[in-house]
Amino acid sequence: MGCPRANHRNFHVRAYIIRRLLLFIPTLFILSAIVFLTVRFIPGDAIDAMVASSDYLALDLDRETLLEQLGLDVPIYIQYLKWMRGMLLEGTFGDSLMGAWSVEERILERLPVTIQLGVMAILIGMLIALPVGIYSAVRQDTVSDYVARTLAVVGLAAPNFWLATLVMIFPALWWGWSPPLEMVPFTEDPLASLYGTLIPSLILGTGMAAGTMRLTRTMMLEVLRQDYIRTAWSKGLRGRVVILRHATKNALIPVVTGIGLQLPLLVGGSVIIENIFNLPGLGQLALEALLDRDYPVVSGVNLFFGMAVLIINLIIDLIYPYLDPRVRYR
Amino acid sequence: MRISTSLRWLAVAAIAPMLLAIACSSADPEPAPASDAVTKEELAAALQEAVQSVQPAAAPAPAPAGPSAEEMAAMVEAAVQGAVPEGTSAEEIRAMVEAAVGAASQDAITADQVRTLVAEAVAESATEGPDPLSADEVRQIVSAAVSALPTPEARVVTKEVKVTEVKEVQVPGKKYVTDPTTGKVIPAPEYGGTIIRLQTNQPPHTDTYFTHHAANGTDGVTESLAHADWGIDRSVFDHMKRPTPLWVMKGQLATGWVQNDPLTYTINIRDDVYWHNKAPMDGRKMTAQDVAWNFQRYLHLGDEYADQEGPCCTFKSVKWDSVTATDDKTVVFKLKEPNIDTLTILFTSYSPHILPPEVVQEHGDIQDWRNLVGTGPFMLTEWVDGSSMTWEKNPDYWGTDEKFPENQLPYADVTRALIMKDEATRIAAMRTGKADYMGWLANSAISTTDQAEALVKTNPDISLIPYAYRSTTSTAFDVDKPPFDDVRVRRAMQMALDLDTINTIYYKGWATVEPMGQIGTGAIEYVTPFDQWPEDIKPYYQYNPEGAIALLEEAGYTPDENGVRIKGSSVFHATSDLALADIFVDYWRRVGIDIEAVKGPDNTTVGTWIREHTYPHDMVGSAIMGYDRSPITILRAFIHSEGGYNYTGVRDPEFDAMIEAAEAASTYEERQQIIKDLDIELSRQHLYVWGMKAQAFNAVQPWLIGYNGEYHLGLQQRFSQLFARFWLDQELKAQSTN
Repeated sequence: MGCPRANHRNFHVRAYIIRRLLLFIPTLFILSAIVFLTVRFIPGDAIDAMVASSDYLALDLDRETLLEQLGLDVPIYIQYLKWMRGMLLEGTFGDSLMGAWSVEERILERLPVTIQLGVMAILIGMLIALPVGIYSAVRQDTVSDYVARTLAVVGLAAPNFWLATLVMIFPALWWGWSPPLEMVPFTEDPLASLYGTLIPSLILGTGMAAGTMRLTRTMMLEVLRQDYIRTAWSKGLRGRVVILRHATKNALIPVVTGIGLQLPLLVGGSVIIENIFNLPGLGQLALEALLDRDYPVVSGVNLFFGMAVLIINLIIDLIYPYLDPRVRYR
Repeated sequence: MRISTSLRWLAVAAIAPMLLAIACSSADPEPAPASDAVTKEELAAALQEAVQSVQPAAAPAPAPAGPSAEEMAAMVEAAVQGAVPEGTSAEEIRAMVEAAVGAASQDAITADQVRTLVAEAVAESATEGPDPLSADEVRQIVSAAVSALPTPEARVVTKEVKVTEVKEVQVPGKKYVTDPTTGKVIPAPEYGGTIIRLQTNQPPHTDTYFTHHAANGTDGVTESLAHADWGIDRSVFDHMKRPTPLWVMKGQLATGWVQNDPLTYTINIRDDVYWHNKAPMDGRKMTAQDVAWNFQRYLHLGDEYADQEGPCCTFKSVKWDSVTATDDKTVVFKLKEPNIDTLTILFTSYSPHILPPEVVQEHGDIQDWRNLVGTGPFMLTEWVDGSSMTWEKNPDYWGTDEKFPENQLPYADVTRALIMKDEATRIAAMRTGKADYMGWLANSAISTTDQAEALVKTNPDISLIPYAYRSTTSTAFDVDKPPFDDVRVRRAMQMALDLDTINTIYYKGWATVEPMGQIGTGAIEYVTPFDQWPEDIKPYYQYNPEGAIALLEEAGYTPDENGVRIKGSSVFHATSDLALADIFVDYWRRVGIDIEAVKGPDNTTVGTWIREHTYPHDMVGSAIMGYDRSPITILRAFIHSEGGYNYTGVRDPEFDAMIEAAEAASTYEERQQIIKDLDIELSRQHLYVWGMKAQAFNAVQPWLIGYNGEYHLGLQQRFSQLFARFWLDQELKAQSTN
């Protein structure tokens, strides 16, 4: 028989999760409509893209026949209903307009690369941001603090596509070296795979680190001024214990939220970074599909990203009580 | 065969002038001579004059009237056999060479034949016998000299700024041969290695029935009935013009064809071709029945496909009646109406690769690359989505190299395409030697002169081969919108542009300024060169700002207080040359035409606006002109009232009638004349402002041998089919990339 208090807490957690999951339904419904419609507002369709991509060499494609074969000859609301039916009843995002491959299969093929890139970017970002942010707060208004803050502003101001292009161009110019240009699957050669995503992750990660570092510093400064920290110091605790055990844990709560909020930015950054570094991930897939007006792929990938952000934010919310016991699920 | 030391001397003598020509750039700072007899400098200086008589003509000579190259070689060798003992003076050598060369007719040997003799002689003998120059020095001289020799490409592209010319980098100890189609000396063909090309896009799938884009993956795996003759002399047809004329085509899976009557064509099929040894074809023989089945599928004929509607309508311009295999080696096409385009469509349109029937019958189609089986030189063995494609050699391939018929194709063991969308990334890959080729053959050209120049600055051994098959910097007016419905305004906008200056400064001399109509000069049978245009049109295509102002005045457009006579807007799609847009706008402003350059919509968006004729601007600034491709297709799409991409919105019954007459012509001569007349009339109407043909660039590593800038082997064969005919100088690649 379990502890009544723990059972009570578990009940609240379950209820909270169920409530959040139920909220996913209207959110995803609205999201599905948005991702379905927005791409169709862009001028042109898949056939126009085929013609454009072939430098107008495919002028003699039979447009009417193709529209019919691709299911684009019916009103948009019917296309939307068909798409929804496919997702709800058959569990599919549909097939690409460019070839006979299913969108969810392609997403699953490309997902590992994006996850690898994203996880490495977050880890690198945190590895840079947390120590520097904490150090900067503890050494407030010293030279090292100013240096760290200046670097953070530079990191925030430097677009990652610009950094990526520099990394691609100048080492090749100066030393005849370029980052790996071909992705090795993690399952094939983990080290080579990690090496392949190291530099793009660094670029994405440093961009993330800038904002996270500033947030960490701010929150640390706020926490360091709290009474319980003063109490800890007056108890004669060692500085490391005060900073890491008492201050950092509480300062990290909004930082974790901030990292969660940065995920969509990470996804956006991956679109460009994956293209520059030739990484076959979801960002590259989304961009190709958008240029191709491959509606099912664009809608599917965007909806997938939306679902991922929802789930990750839910997970982050579930981590809060661990970080701050005062947080309770209601 | 042991080549005498004397011949080696001759070899050095022959290349000495060229060595001097590049002395400034390749001078060796080390004291060179290994012998007291003749120093390198003395030798070069003394022989320079001596071998003037063997200096080749500028262009490949026609059939020699005098001795052949072999006879010349024998004659020279015999003349100087054993006559150059160690210590012979430069004067003596000069006299001997003069005598030897003088024995032959001037016309008897071409520049390229001399190159061959020199290269082969030195390559075989450089390490033998007493030698006042070390073997390595001789090799360096030959390598430098031959790379400095004028080549057909370098002569064609005589620009003020020499970005590069096709280079022939030679590696010590290598065998060299003469490319019979160009006369250039190149490293001898060798087998093995992996050729890596950089490709912008991957194909959507591998079934050319649905879209020709699939050929991006199938080409080299599957084959067609015919292709352009790779062995043709490049001075006759350089494979850089489109559309490919029928007379350049030769059989691939076909051995020949005949038009039996106006409605019947008989195609003879090879009987030595086998499908790849892969299920379900399992290496069975390819037959005429396979060909007939494929065309029934493409053309929607026969019991199996008659009721289907296909997406590609290239074939629909011909009224097909039937396709049948009368035996294992013969296919007969019957038409309902005569059509002069029949063979052109069968041989040079995009789609008709011969695909494996059993695979389609088993899987419904061949969109999944894993099911692809063909008869070609390569087999598609790996496709990492979004990253790379890999083709491995078909060891049993039936085909041989048209240039060197004793060599079975393909040369490379593997050819790979790395999919890279970003141009900076592609250039980095070339710069670091991670790829062998980027350019037209993989939709991945270097787009600007600046980038091309920057690449060869750091990697001078990379060859840049420029090409331009259409202008995308021309301006198409919406002729329904005043004041651009007035031809005088359109002409004034043309006359306001100083294209020569723009070319010199902005494109550094690489663009083609000479005006063209809708049809590019690459469509050699259908264009009238500008110098033959009617005199009443020519002045409107020449820079004359005063004339432009006069025309605007005549049309009633006087300047306001700001000097502006006319206002308008021009849209440029995102990948067009946006900097050039600003230059054009500035020139127009000088004559009082204030055009706002609207930049940014992607290609598809602008294409859609054109198709629907809904673009919210007065003109399209990134319009296509001077297009090297099927004139009928261009005119039908861009000019006909019902055209899918009628930029200008022109609806002229006379133009429509001429296009339809050209389509219905019963002879090529009749069609060519109609199209020439129409193109001149369109130029007279000045529906577009001609904006030059800007060059893009192929970049080729020095170790990739056999490529001279060719576009394709006929429209549908451009990728692996061509790469099957290239080979790697693997030693040079290893040296350069390690």
